[in-house]
Amino acid sequence: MLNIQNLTKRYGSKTAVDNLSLSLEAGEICAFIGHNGAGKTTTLKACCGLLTPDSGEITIDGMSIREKPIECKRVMAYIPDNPDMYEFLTGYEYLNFVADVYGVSKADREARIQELGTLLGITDALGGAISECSHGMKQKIAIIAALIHKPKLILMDEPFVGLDPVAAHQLKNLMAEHCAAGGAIFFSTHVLEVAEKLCNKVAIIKNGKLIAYGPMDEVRGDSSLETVFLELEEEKA
Amino acid sequence: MKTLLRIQMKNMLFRMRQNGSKKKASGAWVIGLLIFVLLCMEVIFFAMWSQLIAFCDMGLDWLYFALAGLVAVAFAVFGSVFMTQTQLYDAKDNELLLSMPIRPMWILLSRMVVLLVMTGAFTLAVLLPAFVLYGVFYGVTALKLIGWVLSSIGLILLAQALCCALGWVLHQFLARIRNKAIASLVYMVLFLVAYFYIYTNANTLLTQLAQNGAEIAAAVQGAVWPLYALGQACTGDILSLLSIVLLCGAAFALVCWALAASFVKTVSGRQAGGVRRSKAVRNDARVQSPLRAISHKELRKFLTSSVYLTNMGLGVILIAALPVAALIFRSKLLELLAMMEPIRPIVPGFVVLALSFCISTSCISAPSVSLEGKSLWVIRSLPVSGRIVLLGKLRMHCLIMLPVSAVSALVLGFVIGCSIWDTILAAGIAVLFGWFVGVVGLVLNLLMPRFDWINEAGPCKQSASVMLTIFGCYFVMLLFAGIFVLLYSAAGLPATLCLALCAALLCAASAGMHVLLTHWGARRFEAL
Repeated sequence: MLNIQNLTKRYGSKTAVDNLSLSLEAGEICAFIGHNGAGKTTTLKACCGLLTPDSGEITIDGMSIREKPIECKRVMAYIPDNPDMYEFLTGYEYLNFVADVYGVSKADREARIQELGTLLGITDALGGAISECSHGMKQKIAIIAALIHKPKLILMDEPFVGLDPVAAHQLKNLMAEHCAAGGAIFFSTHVLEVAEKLCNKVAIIKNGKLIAYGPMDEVRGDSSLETVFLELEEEKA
Repeated sequence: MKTLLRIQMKNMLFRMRQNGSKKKASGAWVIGLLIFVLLCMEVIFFAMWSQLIAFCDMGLDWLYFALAGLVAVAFAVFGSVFMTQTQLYDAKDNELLLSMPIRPMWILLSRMVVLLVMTGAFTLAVLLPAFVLYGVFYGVTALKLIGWVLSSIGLILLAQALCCALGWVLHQFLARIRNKAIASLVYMVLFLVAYFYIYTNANTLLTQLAQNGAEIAAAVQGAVWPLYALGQACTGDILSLLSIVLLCGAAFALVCWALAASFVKTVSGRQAGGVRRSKAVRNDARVQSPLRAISHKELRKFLTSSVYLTNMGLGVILIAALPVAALIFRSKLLELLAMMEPIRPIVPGFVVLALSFCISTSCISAPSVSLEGKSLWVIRSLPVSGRIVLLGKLRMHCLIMLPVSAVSALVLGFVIGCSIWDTILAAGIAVLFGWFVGVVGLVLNLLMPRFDWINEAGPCKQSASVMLTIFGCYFVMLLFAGIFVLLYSAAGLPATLCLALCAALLCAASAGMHVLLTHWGARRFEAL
């Protein structure tokens, strides 16, 4: 589903991501963890086509993001850490805009918006301007927008930030259902407990380099993910 | 305070660079254009003061300076009030700064530095010609010079105080209405109507002023003492000078204190229920193609942003107002045209020129790429090509500009009695030029995008792409006017044929730019 080969991205003299390789198959949820500035957002943005890598190749469902960006974007969705959306639109207008671009039919989009809006508890607020929404409400709108076209691959950058406990719980359920139905999710998070419970794969990045990657049980071993993460952070220091 | 000023200055300097790079080319362009505009204004004010310098011959030097001061303050307030409102109350870092241990007064004063520069520019644009003209005819003494300098400073502070007070009123008003953009546009239009009324009657007003100097002087001296004191201050009267400086300084200090005291409440007023919360509504989904969806989104952006609408939408209103004005003053127009009988055949060219001038100032597409701002990730993460995005932005520009330009040209052609072919060609050229301006605006914005703005005044008013689009299209317009004149006078071709050839050339130029936009522009957008 997602294949990253030797991804390298530099900003001037700083190497944000250094020769990173990992892959994700259908049905897998991979947590991407690392310290602040480790290169998580850069990696996710490169997968989404928002950044051009300096070297390496990223394929989504067998298609190169560099050569077929539009086709790749059709089958995936991206939720950034800071959902700066079109504040001048209402929630419904924004969701309809996204649905129009993805070519979602009227019946499908109405059903999805109703379903996800009720699940995340935001239906009443969708008629108002996004500018009047709190961060958490914007995050929920971004989640609905990402799921409206039923993507195969979902890329998320710290999706649980700002969500209330009920919404966070619902999002975890949605993520599990998505992967059970054959989709894949690659997301970054600092909430290691969620990563442990939800994910079957984990990738740990430090200073742009992948220092651990594989099935959750293998990477974690007998200890907790937090312990492993802290040990790895100290080891490579 | 030093830190805040440093941030404001860094922000100003950073914004003058292109995409944060070291290149100062775009900043130099903007400064160059601003200087050009300023010089044009100086010419107008020189002409104005040369009519009123007669007051000094009557021994009413103070009245001359009092009027100069009044006009300077009015001009500065008109020019700066919207910018004051957006810089003080709509800046995106207000909440960040207020959350820090910084007194609201310091935040206000640090923003005031930039505003004072703008207000000072407007004020001095009016005062300098008045002073220079007086100096040339009547000479300067050291006392007068000191009076001029100190009263100028006082007037700048007074103008800024008025801008802040009016900006506060404007902010309160905008916070309580749903569609702020339309309200701002109406406000701007009313000001423009007043401005044009004064402008069109300026000569009459100035003549009446010059003729009734003595009566006006007596009235002002009796009833409006500050104006009298201002005038006396500029003639070198020390007591008046001190009074004016103290008065203006006190007004500025009072306004700053009042604003600082209410700053937190004013800035947070919108979030604290200052705006009616929207009621829950049903989703009225209407399925559109990606192109239409993007175009619709751009239109919503345009109609809901006061800065965007007032800066780019005024030109559209002018285009719509031209034929209305032509209909109202039809008889006067026809009288004027009767006097221009030898050049009557090229009158359609003047129609096109006037419309093109207005179209150039309505470069709606020019800030549209920059206005994506921090939301750029939305459109870039969606499965839509850069070509469709840019065509969506262009479509919005054309949907607004082209119909109104075409109708305006047709009505103008009818009113002034152009032939049917000339009228159709004029309408065609107006439409083509509207398309051209739209494409050029996008190309220039792709060359010089700015996504780091704190408020929309950045991309709409202070960006090189907007300035270059406006003045670049003026240049193109004059170039085509030159081609028209050349074909008509040198080549001896009929005026209608000249118009048709210009239309063909413009069509080719627009098509060429369109191809550039959809190919190079698309790749450029996808790399942003």
